[in-house]
Amino acid sequence: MPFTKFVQPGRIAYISYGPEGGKLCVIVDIIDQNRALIDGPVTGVKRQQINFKTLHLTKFTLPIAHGARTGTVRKAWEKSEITTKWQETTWAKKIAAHERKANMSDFDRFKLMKAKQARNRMLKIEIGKLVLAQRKEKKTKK
Amino acid sequence: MNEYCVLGRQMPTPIHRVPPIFKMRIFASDEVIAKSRFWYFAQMMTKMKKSRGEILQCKQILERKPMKIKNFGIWLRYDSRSGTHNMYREYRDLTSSGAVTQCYRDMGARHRARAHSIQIIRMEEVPASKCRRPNIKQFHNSAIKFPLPHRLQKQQHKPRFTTRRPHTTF
Repeated sequence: MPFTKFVQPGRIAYISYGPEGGKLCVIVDIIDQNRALIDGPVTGVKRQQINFKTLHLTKFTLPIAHGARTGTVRKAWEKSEITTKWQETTWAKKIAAHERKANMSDFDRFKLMKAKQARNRMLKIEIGKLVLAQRKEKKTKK
Repeated sequence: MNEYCVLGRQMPTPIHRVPPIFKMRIFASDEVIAKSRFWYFAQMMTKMKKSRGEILQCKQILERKPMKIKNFGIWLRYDSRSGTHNMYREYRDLTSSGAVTQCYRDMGARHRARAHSIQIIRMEEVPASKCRRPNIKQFHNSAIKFPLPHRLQKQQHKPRFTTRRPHTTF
């Protein structure tokens, strides 16, 4: 299968760990084999160098030239509406769900337990109906 | 490494009333080492000793454009196990001190040269057209683009034993 996500000026990447972990940034230029110059004016990432090891590439790109300045990057980001597009992706939703789960209070965990119980009860009723139907079928066949 | 501008001269004597001031561009991790290296080179190249001299200024030089990617050419002299050699090496970095740090690490890795046996003769920002090394010239492409194939796992021991094969495409 061919590669679809490339390290290139304009590529939006998710910073997976480090002091800027969890934020989106744009690859503005490539320093060398291991490092890129990134910037994230909208997400609060200062213009800096970063190792590719921390970056997870997204499918989004901005139409900026290599070495574009922070103002240009900001305008391109807002024009392409990256923040809203990112929040609609499954990836971003999963991250949000993980965060919500990690920040649950005891009351939230209680509510979750009750919700799961209610769902499982409904499931059991439906399964019971199917099992009953199957048993009736077997009896009539005999 | 930090870049320092060190100025020093021999103390004035009745014979030499206005001794010349020498300036050096020293790369060192702190001011103390910078001054020490100044005297090391001054003694080696001129008739100037620390005991008869004084340092007029040891100022850290900060990068003028720390967000501009530059190509640096470093001319250096180093001692190998069997002799001493000159070298010209190129590095791509945002700051000159970053490039020199890279150089020291690189020399240690490739030639097992320790910092004490390396002397930086000259350090200059080189325009892209004048770069000589192919591994630097490969980045002189405005439409540069490459994927990140086969990404290695960072946390090899969390968990150390697992039933899942590592995920290398992301």
